[in-house]
Amino acid sequence: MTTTVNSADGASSNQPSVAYNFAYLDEQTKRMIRRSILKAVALPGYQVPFGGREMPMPYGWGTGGIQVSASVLGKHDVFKVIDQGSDDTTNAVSIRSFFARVAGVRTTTDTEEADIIQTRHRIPEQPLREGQIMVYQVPIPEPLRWMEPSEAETRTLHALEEYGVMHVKLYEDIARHGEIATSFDYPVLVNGRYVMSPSPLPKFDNPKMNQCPALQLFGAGREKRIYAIPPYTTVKSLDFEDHPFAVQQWNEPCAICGATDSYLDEIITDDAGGRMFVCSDTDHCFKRVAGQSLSAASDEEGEFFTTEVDSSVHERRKK
Amino acid sequence: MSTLSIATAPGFARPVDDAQAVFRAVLQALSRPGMFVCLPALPPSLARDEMTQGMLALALALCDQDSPLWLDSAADSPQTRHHLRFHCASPFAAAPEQAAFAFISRPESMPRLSAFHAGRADFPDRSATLVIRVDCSAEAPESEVMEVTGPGVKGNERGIWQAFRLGGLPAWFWTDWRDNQALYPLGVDVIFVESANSGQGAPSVRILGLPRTARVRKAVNAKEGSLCM
Repeated sequence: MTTTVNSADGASSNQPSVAYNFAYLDEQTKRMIRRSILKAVALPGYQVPFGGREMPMPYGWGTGGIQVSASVLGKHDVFKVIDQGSDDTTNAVSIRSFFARVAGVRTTTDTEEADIIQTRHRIPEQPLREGQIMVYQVPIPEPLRWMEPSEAETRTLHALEEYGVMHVKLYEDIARHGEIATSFDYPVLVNGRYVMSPSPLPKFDNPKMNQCPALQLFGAGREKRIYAIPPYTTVKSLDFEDHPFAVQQWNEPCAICGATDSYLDEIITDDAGGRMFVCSDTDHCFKRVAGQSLSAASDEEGEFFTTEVDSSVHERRKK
Repeated sequence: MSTLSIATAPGFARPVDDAQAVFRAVLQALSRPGMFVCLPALPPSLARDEMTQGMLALALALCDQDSPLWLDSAADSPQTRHHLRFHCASPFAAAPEQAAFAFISRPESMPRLSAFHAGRADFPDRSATLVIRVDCSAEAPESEVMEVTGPGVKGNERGIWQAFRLGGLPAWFWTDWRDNQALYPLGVDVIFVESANSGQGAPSVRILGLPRTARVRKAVNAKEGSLCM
């Protein structure tokens, strides 16, 4: 990669330090992606094909999400990236620093502060607000692909609104396991018309997509598809009357912050079967701990959670 | 007019930032049907002002060699074509049904909505986007207040309806819009662009989006909404 560092610009914090167009992509590519995004918003849940470009990272690392982010980002936006809820995993850190470098945007880990949140496989626990844009990285955008390998066929099924195979798949789950065993990438019906893959979100996050105040954009780089859910849109998880949709539950709270209402990751702590459950959303967990230690300090009851403990646990879960 | 006398007017002052800002305004408008959104950047106006600054901003931000344009007779002129060809490199569609973007400067004599490409059942995204100049300065009579529901409309105490008022549309427009909406997922999408600068001081042009998902009816005692800063 050839980079030209302009020392005058590189010194000031809000200037991109490499000689690329703003946000890496050329303007014609951005216009093409922008037109696709606008059509995606007009067709909630429908996958709009787009001319996906080669990105400086392999497929599977969020090339679709990055192209969508690059096309919507402006220099005044604050950008956050999460990977499985975490701000500090490799994928999240590198995408964040990529845009800090090629677009000079301010980045954050704070969900509330972010204007654009690119995500791999989670929706933050903190409710999203109006004006925010969620950008999802999607590996397989076609929800019917496991049942029907032909693109021509699935396209026809969407055109005819023929979603019987999806219900058969969920029914087979019930026949085999006694319940709908699909726990992630759980199919949803958007605006009563298109069955959509919510990317591999845990189904715990599905209800957050319904009537969400934020705009949700989905980008699949390898499959070259963009789709969207406008704000305040009905998103229904598919289910049956006698087997209604339900989200995961845990028997214990988060081992760090004590949350009982967040999505928990299971962390193996040793070779002897030791394990713990901690929040998948690191920003949410840290904020709760900070709030607790503040109130604990003000009560002069001492601190239950020191920052060293927090970071060591989150270090461990990364391994 | 000789070709030599056609000077090329400049486009956006800051092409990259302005195109991005205008796109975000359009994205906002189509995500929140019925809400006015301010265009944050405008290119200089053309001498012959039929293609307004707002319409030019949308063309410069969204159109290029892959998006055939159609201009209605009011917007069409050698100067406009020269300008758009230079800045967008767009081909010009001979007929409305071939256009990806249609720019309509005089809506009272525009073609019916069914004249534009509504997409195909397997590719409904290949439909036209209509950019229609509207007049919001004159007080439209109460009967012209419309309200919209659909994705992007937030529920309020009156149900899930958002009111708005646009002037200068032909009498058949909302009947045609109902037919267009009934085609869903096919159908055209519309971005209305205010013709005049509404405020004093810095020029500001508002746009309002109606994606094909938007269902529109005549409003009763409704309050309009705006996302303008």
